[in-house]
Amino acid sequence: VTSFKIKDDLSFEENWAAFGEQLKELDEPLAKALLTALSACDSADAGAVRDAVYAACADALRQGEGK
Amino acid sequence: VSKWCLTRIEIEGFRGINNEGDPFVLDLSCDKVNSISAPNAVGKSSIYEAVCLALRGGVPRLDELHSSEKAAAYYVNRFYNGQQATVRLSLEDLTSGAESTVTVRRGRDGATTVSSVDHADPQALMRSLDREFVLLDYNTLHAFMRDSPLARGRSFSKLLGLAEYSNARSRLRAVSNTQAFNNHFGLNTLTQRIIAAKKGVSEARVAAYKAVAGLCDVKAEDLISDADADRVVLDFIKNIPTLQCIGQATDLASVNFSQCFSAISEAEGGEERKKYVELTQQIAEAEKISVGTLTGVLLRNLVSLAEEYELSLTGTAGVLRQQLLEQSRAVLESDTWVNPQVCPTCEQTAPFPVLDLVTERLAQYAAADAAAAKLKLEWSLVDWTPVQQLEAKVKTADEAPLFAQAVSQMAVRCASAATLSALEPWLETLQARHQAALESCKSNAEALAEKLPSSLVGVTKSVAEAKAIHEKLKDAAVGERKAAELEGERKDAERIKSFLDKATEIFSVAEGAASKARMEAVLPLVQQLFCSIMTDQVVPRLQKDSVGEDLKLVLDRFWTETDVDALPVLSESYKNALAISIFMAAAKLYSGPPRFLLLDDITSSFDGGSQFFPMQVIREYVARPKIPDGLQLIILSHDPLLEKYFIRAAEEGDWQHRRVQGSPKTLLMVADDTGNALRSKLIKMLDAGLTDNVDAGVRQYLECKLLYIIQRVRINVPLDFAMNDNKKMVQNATDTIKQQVALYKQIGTLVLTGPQEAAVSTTIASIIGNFMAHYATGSSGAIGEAGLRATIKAVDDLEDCFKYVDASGQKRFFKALDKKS
Repeated sequence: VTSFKIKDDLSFEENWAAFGEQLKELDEPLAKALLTALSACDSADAGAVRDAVYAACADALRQGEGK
Repeated sequence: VSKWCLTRIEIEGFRGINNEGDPFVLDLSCDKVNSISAPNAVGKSSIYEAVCLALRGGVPRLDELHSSEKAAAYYVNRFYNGQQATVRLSLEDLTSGAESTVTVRRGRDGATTVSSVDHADPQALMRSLDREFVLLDYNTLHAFMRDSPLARGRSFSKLLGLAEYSNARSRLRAVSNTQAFNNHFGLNTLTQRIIAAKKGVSEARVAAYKAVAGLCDVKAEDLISDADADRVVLDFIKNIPTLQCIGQATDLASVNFSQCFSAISEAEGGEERKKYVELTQQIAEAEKISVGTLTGVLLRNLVSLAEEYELSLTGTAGVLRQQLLEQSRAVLESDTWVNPQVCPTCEQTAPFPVLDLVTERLAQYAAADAAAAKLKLEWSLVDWTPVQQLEAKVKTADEAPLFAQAVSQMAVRCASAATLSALEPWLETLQARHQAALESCKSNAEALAEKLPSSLVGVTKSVAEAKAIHEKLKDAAVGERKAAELEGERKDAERIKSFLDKATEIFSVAEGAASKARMEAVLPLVQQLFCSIMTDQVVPRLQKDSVGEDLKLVLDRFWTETDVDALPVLSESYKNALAISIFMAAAKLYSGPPRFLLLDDITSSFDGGSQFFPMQVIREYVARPKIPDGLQLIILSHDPLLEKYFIRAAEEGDWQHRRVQGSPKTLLMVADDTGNALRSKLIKMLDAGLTDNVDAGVRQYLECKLLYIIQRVRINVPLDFAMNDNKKMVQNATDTIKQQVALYKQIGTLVLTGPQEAAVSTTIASIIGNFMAHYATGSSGAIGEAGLRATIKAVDDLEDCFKYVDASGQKRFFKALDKKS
C-alpha cells in the first residue's frame, strides 16, 4: 500500500483517484467513507472536515456490521 | 493544457479608476514584456487589484481591513455614478489560439458576477488562473521570506503547482489528529466504561458463586461457568420434595419462583407462614439493595474534584470570551496576520507576541475543561442506580432526593461542590435507616421461624437464595454483553484511527516526495536567477526533507563561508532577490494554465540604480519572447528611474512600455508619447463643462508634452534630471528648455526663429503664471476653465516653437536645437 506516488503527468483528480484505489486495498469500506466525506465537505474548517469524516467512517463500520 | 496570456484589461468604476462611460483600456502583448509606469496615486495599483478581483473574487488588502473601515464600500470608485464596478479581462490560449473575454462585476452591495460570451465556465477559468505567482507584489515576496519554515513550505508547495496536494495533506492531517480523534470518539471515557463494566461483571459473578457455594455445598472455585453454577443450583432445589412444581425446568430462568413460594406456603398453611415468606422475601430484596462501590471516600474525592473545577473556573470569563480568544488564535496563526505583536481584536501593539498571551488564556479554559472532564469521568465510573433505588425506598416524602438531583445535574453540567458535599451524610442516613429496617425484618422473621417447622424455613431460605443467585448471574450476563458492546465500539474506533493514520502517512510521503522532486528541479534556475541578479559569491539552496513540510533557506556559499542559514545574513535586497528568484523559477517550470505574471513594484527594496538587474534577469531567463515557452510579464512601476530602463528596453523590440495618466476622480488612460490623446480628453471635458479635477490632467499633459519636446529636439538634460523631485518635473523641464535655448543662442547655433525664441519665454511664463503658480501651492481651484484652456494653448504654442513647416506644408520638429532637419 506504500507504493502510491504522485505522477507529474496526471492531474490532481487522477492522482487522488489512484490514492483512493490504494486506500481501498488497505480498508475498502473506510476508504470509500473517507473519500466520499472529503469530496462532499468543501469546508476549510478543520473541525467540520473531521466531523464529516469521523461520522462517515463510523457509519461505514456500523453498516458493515449490520448494526 | 491551455496556456493563457492576458491581451487586454478593461476597467470602469473600480477603486481608483472612475472612467465612467469610457473604460480604461490596457492592451497587452503576449510576445513582449509589458511595462506600465504611472506616478503615485494615479491608479496603477487599481490595475493590479482589478485583476485580483477577477481571479480571486476580491481584494485581500481591502478584505483584511477591520470591519469598521467598511472596506466593502470602496470597491466601486467613490466618484462613479454607476452601481457596479466592471473589470473585463481578455485572454488568449497560446496552445489553441482560442480567445476568451471574462467580465467581472462587483456591485456596491458586494454582489459579484462573472460572465463571458465565449467561455462556458468563466468562473472555473478564473479559478484555474489563480496561482500564487500570478499576482506578485513586494508584500507577497516579503511575507514569503518572513514566514515560518512550515508556512513557507506550504506556500512553496502551492508555487510548485501542488496546492491541491498540500491542502489535501492538511485535511488528512487534521482528521488523523490523535487528540481530536480521541475527543470525538470519547476513547478515554470508553476505556473507563469498559473497565467499569468488566469490574461489575466480575463482582456479580464472585458474589453469585460464593452464594452457590454457601447454598449447595460446592467450592466456588470448582464452578467452571455461569451455566455450571446455574445447573448446580437448579439441581439442588429440584431435589427438595416440596418443590415438585419446578418440574422439567432446564435452568433457573425457567423456574417460577413465585410458584415455589406458593407451594411452600400451601404445604405449611397458615397466615404466619405467609407472613414469614413475605418477610424472607423482603429481607432478600432488601439485602439485594446496596450502594455498590459507592463509599464515603469516593464521595469526598468527587467533592475535591468539584472544588478543583470551581477553582479553575475563576481563571475564565465565559464562553463568549473563549470563542473570542479562539478566533484571535486562529487569526494570529494564519498566514495573513503580519505583525505577531498586534492584537487582532483590539489592534493594540504588545511588547511580546500576542499569541503567547492568547495561548495562556486559552490554557485556563483548557484547564477548566480538563477539571470538568476529570470530575465527569470519575462520576461516570460509579453506578448510581443502586443508591438512587435505596434513596427512593428509604427517604420520606418531604425529603429531597439528593442523589437523584445530583445525577440530573451531572447529566447536563458539573454539580457544585456544595451539592456533592451533602451526599456523604445523606448516604450515611440512608444506609442507617435501611440497616435498621432490615434488622427489624430479620428480627421478626426469626421470631416467626421459631414457631414454624425448621425444615420448611430452610426450604424457603433456599428458594430465596436460588432466586438471588439467578438475579446475580443475570446481572453478570447483562454486564458481559455491555462490556462486549463497548469493546466493539473501541475496536471500531481503533480501526478507523489506524486507517486514517496510514492514509495520512501514505499521502504525506507522496506529497513530500513530489514537492522535493519539484524543488530539486527548480533549484538550478533559482540559483541562476539569484546569482545573475546579485552575485555568484552568494549561492542559495532550498532545503526540504521528503516527509516534512518545512522549507529552509540556506546558502551553499556566502562569500568565503559555506552552508550558512540564509535569513540571518541576507540583507533586505538580497532576500527580495531570493524571493523573486524562487517565485520566477517556480512560475516558469510549474505555471500551469496561467502564463502571465502581474508584478506590482516587486523590486521596492532595491536602491534606485539596482532595480535594473532583476528586470534584466527576468527578461533574459524567464520572460517571453526571449524564452519561447516563458511567461508573459506585465510589470507595474511608479519608479521614474526604472521607467528610463523600460523606455530603453522598448526600443529593442521585445518590450512594450506604456505610461498611464489620469486621476481617480475622473479618468485613467494610457498616454501616448505626444500627449495628444490626453489633450483631446481634457478639451472634451472642458467642453462638457467639467472643470472639477481637470487640473490634475492638465498637469500630466504639461509633463508629458514637455518631456516629448525634450525627447524630439534632443535637448540635453542634467544628469540628475530623472532623480529630481518627481512633483517638480514640469518646473525641471521648463527650466531645462529655457537654459538650453539660451545656451544655443549664446553660441550662435540656435535654429529657432526670433519669434519662436521669444515665444519660448512667453509661453513658459504663461504656463507658470496661469497654472503652475496656483497648482504648486495647492490653490488649483483658482485656475478656472479659462486658465486651464490658456495653459493647454500655451503648451501647444510652446510645441510650435520647436517646429518648422516643410515643403508639403506639414509642421515638423527640428532635429535638434542647432539642426533643422
